[in-house]
Amino acid sequence: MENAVRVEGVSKSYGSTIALSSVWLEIQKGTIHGIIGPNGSGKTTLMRILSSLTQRDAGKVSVLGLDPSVSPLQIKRIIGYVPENPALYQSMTTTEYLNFVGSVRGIDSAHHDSLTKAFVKSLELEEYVDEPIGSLSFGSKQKVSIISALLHDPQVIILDEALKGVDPRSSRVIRDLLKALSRNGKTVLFSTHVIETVDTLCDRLSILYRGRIIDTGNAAELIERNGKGGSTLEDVFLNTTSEAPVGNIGDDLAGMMGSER
Amino acid sequence: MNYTYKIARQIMIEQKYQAIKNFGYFIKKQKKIRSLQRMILTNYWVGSVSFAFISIILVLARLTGGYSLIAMANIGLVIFVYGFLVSLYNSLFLFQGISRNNLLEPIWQLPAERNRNIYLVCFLIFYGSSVAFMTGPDLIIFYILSGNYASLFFGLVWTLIVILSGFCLGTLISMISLLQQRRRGRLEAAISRGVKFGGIALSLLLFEVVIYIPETVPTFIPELSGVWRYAVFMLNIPYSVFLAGGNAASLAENILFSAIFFLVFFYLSVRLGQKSMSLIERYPERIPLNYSTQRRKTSSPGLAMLTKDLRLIFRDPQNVSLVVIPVIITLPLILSLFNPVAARTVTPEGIFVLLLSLAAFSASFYTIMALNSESTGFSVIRMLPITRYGFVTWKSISILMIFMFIVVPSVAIAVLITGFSPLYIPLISAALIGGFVAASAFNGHRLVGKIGRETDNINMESFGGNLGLLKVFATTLLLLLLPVVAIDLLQTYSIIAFSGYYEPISLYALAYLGMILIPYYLRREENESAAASAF
Repeated sequence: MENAVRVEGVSKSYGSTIALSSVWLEIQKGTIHGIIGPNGSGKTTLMRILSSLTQRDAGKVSVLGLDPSVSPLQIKRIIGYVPENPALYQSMTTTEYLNFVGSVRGIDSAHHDSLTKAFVKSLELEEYVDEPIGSLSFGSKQKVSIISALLHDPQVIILDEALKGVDPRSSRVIRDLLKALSRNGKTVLFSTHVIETVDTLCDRLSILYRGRIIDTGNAAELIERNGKGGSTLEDVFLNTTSEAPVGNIGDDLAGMMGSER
Repeated sequence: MNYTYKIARQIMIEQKYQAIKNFGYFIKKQKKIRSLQRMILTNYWVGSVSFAFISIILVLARLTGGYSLIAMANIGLVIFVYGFLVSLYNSLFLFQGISRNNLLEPIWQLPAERNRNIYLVCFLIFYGSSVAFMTGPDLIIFYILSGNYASLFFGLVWTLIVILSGFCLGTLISMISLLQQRRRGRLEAAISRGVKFGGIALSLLLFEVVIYIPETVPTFIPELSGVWRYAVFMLNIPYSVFLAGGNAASLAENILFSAIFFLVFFYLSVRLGQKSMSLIERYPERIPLNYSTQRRKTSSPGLAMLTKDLRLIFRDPQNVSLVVIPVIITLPLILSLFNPVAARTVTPEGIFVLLLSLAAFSASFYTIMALNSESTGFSVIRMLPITRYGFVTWKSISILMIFMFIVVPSVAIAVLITGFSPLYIPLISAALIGGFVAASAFNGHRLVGKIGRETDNINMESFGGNLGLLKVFATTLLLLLLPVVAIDLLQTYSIIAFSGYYEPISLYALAYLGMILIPYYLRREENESAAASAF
């Protein structure tokens, strides 16, 4: 199958902090690829590099044959990116904001109207459409951010912790939507901390730890290669991305909190 | 106090950090926090020294060719009024910075009542105190000239009053803005914005008119009987500060009224500071406007950008205040034309050069305001297929619309009161608009070039705060004065060499309209690289 995304030896540092260190990754067209990793493992940096929002220091990147650092405008036309924290104009209403995004992306007015109506209804945002985005809850902002990233029917969808703060019903709607889109040939790159989500949603997974891809495969392959008998995907994740076993850390901390000062 | 000071300092660091955290030069710095502290300190001192410099220039200009103590006292009033405006603007800026970026969010969870004064303390230390550098040199020079000790004492007290009153008004505007947005519908919100905008402009213009229409202050105030001469807030400064003293009774009156003003504004500052903190805490972000249902439709990308830019500007009181400031600064020049002597001697070229200052101030302030209005929403721009050129172009067009709304009436007033042909109105307006377009596009491209490749948030600190603003203004002034100087030199040469004389205003118009080509040149430069043209 044809690759939609190809990452070859990509590295990125912020001053003395290494965010990515020679990352290699291939994502097939029409699949949902999950990236899991602990905080600070480099997930956001990788996604921003693919979205042309961050410049890599070394390596090669191709998204549908385009290099994000060479053709950023074309990349922005064919991808939909949902950042970890919704980036929106706080003083605009949801309707004004979606109209703005639709206009800049050149979406036909009638199509835009029916599409936004459908999205707003499906994600239960109807009562908030005429309120400034700044007054919405985090989850509602995230929904607006997701809608704005999908309005132009992107070929590649990059979601960085996109379901964070979204209620279970809308989360389910979005996951079903992503599955349907991948069946229609769209490529989805999805990062999260919630192992259950990637387990049920993603066709393939990559574990990112300290700026390196540790392993890539479907859930069963990852468990087989990194787990023991009866291991779950969460066990695999914890084993491959922790310096020390979780053990009884929680109990120990609770004990310390209750002790004499 | 130590705790409050530490948090006030942290607010400044946080503001600066949010602005530059993704800038390449900052990422490379090893000691980031130390560097931020140094930047804040440098910014403060450069701003303060600039204020002192402006004050000294104003006073020295008045000293040349003879002076009277009354005239010096009136210049002092102008300096104190500018101090008030600086204070007003800074309080708007700080309030917006804190509320928009949720800078106090981390400390709300802490059980400390002292938190309530942080906003006021932060303002007084990092913004308000710099106003003293504006009034200080004036007071010292006046003391050297008059030997009046009382002027130094009352000058200090009234500097504090001016700082606190500016803080009160700015905070009040910001608080009303937040509350009105919450309580009213869309139409009412629009009306209240209009009223608020008109109110700010009108009250500030009133100050200007009273100050600058000749003889008004010197004749009006003494005509007030007895103690009332000290009670006309702000306009009493020539008497309460510079001409203070006299007999024991008038000194006692002055002390009493100055003390009352100080105590009232100090009390109001503390109360408003605390109230505003409660307001920000309750509504950490923007508040519902209860807008009526709007249509879901798309427009052309350009129109969408333009609408968005105008919304961002006019929905924020800080930006609205920046719209007014160039007018406030240059209005005295226009009002000076009401003086019959000035009206008789001024030429159309003189009017043009006079109003060129409006173009220079506007092209500097408005460009920074337009970019600053993006705030955290700048990350939206970065995610969309928008070129840097397109971004700057639509910003320039949005501020051009505001500028045209201001400049054409200003030119019309100046031309008509001086009795010149109305034909000069389109000619001078066109030249000024040409200059504004060129300068704002140039500034826009220069400032956008400074934005880091990975920046998601723009605020005043992204361009260096007050120091950055001064740099932009200096560049703009240079750019806009070049054609005038060049044409005047050519004119002089032409008269000497060929006894030829050309109508300078037509040449100005041609030159400044020709400057509109600058944005096209910038576009040509940009299209050479697709990668460089995107954010």
